Amino acid sequence: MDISFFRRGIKLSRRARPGKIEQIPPPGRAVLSLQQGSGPPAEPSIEIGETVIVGQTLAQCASGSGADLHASISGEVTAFEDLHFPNGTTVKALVIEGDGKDTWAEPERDDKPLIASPGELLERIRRGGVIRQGSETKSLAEVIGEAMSPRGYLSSTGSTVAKPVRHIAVRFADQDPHLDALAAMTETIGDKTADLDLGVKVLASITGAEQIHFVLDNKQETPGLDKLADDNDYAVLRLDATNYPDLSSPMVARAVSGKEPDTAFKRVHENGILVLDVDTVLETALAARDRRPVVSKLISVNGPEGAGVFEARLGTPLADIVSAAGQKKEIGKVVLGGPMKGIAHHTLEFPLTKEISGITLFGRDQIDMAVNDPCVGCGLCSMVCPIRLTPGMLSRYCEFSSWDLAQEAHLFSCIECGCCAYVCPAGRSMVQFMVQGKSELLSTRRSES
Amino acid sequence: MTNQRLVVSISPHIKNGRTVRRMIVTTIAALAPAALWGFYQFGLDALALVAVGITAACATEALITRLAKKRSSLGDGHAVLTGLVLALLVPAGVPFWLVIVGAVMAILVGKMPFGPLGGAPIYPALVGLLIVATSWPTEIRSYVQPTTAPVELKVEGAADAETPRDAVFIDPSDEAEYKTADLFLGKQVGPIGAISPLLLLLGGLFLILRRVARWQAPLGFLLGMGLAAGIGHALDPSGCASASFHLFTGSAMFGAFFLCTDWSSTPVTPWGMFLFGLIGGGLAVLLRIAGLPYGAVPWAIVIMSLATPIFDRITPTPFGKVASHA
Repeated sequence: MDISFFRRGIKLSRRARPGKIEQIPPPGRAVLSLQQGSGPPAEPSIEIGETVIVGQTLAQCASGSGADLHASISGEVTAFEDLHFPNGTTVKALVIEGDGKDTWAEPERDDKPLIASPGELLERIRRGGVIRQGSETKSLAEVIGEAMSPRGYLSSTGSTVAKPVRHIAVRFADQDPHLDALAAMTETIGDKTADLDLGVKVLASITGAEQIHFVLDNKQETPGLDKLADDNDYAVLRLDATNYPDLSSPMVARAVSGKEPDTAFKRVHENGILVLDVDTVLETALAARDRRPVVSKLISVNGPEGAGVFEARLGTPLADIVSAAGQKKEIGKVVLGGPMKGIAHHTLEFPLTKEISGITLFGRDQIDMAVNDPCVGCGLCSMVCPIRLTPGMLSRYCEFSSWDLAQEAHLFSCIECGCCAYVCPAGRSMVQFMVQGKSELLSTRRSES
Repeated sequence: MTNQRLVVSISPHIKNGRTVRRMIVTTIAALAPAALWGFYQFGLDALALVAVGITAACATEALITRLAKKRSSLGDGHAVLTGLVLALLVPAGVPFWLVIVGAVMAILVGKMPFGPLGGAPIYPALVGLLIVATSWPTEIRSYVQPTTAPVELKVEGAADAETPRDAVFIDPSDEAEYKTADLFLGKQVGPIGAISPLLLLLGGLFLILRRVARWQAPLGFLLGMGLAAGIGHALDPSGCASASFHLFTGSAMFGAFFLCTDWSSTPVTPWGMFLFGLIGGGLAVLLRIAGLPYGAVPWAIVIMSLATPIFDRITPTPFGKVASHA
């Protein structure tokens, strides 16, 4: 029994109301990373010097993992370039010099996509380059594959019984309430309900999911959605997005299934619950029906001077998006994603990729420098940890390299939500300790096996 | 906007602005009403003792950090809190040197050897208090007649057997002389800052609402004391006073809200905190009945603190794990 009286997690503020989505014109030069989301980079299928049009396939995933990459502007492929990702890896990217004409490839429309076989639909999703956004960005086709891959003991007997996906939860608000791209999209979902319905049905057809859930922030007003849910028997669940991390995948999975998914060594979708963002579902619909690949992306910008939601082509320099948001003053920190889970990047000279759902900017005076004092044992972190860990203890184990103790104390259950670091009065980099501990343990394990 | 230097760090990139210093200031603020009541009841002597205690604690810490060539840690306010708590836990009639020795010992023995804040296995102020209480058992019991008291208490001389007695140590058969309401409102003899259960309760609730302290340990402690005293009283009314009497006298309330909720010396897991308090409360009543001359509650909490690592092993089942019944 858990006797922790106060609700776990932390309270964050929400932006009043998402603004209108502004369009950013196609850039003159687009840099498209061959790797979008985790997983292996795609293999280029065109040569330097070729002219391409919007939507044309540039690179294909070889192994069937990953997702295809398509031209986001029309023009000439001029070079391969090294792209330095914030996580330290370097990936090859294709550069397209635009011709300013913005010519689109002719879509091969299929008006009855639901007749197609699940395998065919999965292939269309993969070829459409749909990436599952949110906490773990990965090719949607790959996520579905993982969710449905046979259990170990079954496959060892030669049986190909697929694991059932019971629930699909569609999120209409970001888990970080400072990001509002999804909320802005939901505001205008009224004329896209048909697409949304199709996307959900395509996913249900592939996975055989029994129940669809719409997960909304409790402040969102969406009459169109309610009607859609009513007509199709989809469950509507309203959560408070300011109760971070209630909209993260594990918490949503608990809310829709009534059962807590194991967060250690297992991804949420491997528990038979697929948590997807609404933009992924819409992209799925377009990929399945219009065969229209993903070439643009909604992105929420939050800065000291300007904020807004923008739709931009993939490969647009982030600096362009930031200046469109009205940010002129010098900034001190750029975070790709929201303030709670985003990754800080060292430069704005980076193209928009499919995994970036928002940009959070901090002025020089707004940066919280890590203090990293010793743990005072106040226990606030244990109070807020949504996973019911004892983060203070874990951080000390990791600080003093007691990796085994950390593992015994369920380090791998940590979802790196950052609540402990948010409240820590000693200013400890809690998430850093956790991540370091996990990677140390994994590398030891790898070298032992 | 090109070529500017950007800061990188791990997530999260925002914090709620809580600092150690702010939490300690909140604790001191929560203690303030009880301390002011003590000053009102015992006069300027009490105020002077508190001032001396705080000064001695801060001076000791400053000196030690200087000698050890460490960054001064006075800024977080913990030395102030230590001196304050120590002085609030002694009667108003104790000599100044006793408080000074206590404060020096609290910092010198209780805090600094264990490194920076957060290392002390026992609440430092209690270390100082128990060192002086054990070393000078007569002087520590220099109780003073409060300004408003329910019973006329004889005050003769300084530190002899005829000075007013701490309510806890009157014969339980004299309990009838005290009205529970008077005890609760703070009309009683006792340590400077611990005589007003009402104000301590309010201060404690403030700490819990501000999320500086958790409710499990105080509740457990009060429950433990109440249960132990209730059972004892039912079995032997002449040997053990009633539960309300035990809860409202001595440093019971002070201990529950301000000592059981210390950071490093108490557990952090929900059940660990509750059991820590529950067993500690029972232990405090036992020590009182056994006739410990001073500081049954502090002693009980110190003994429990030594077992904190054991209580910290009672962790909740993590998200998505099946509870083990091992």
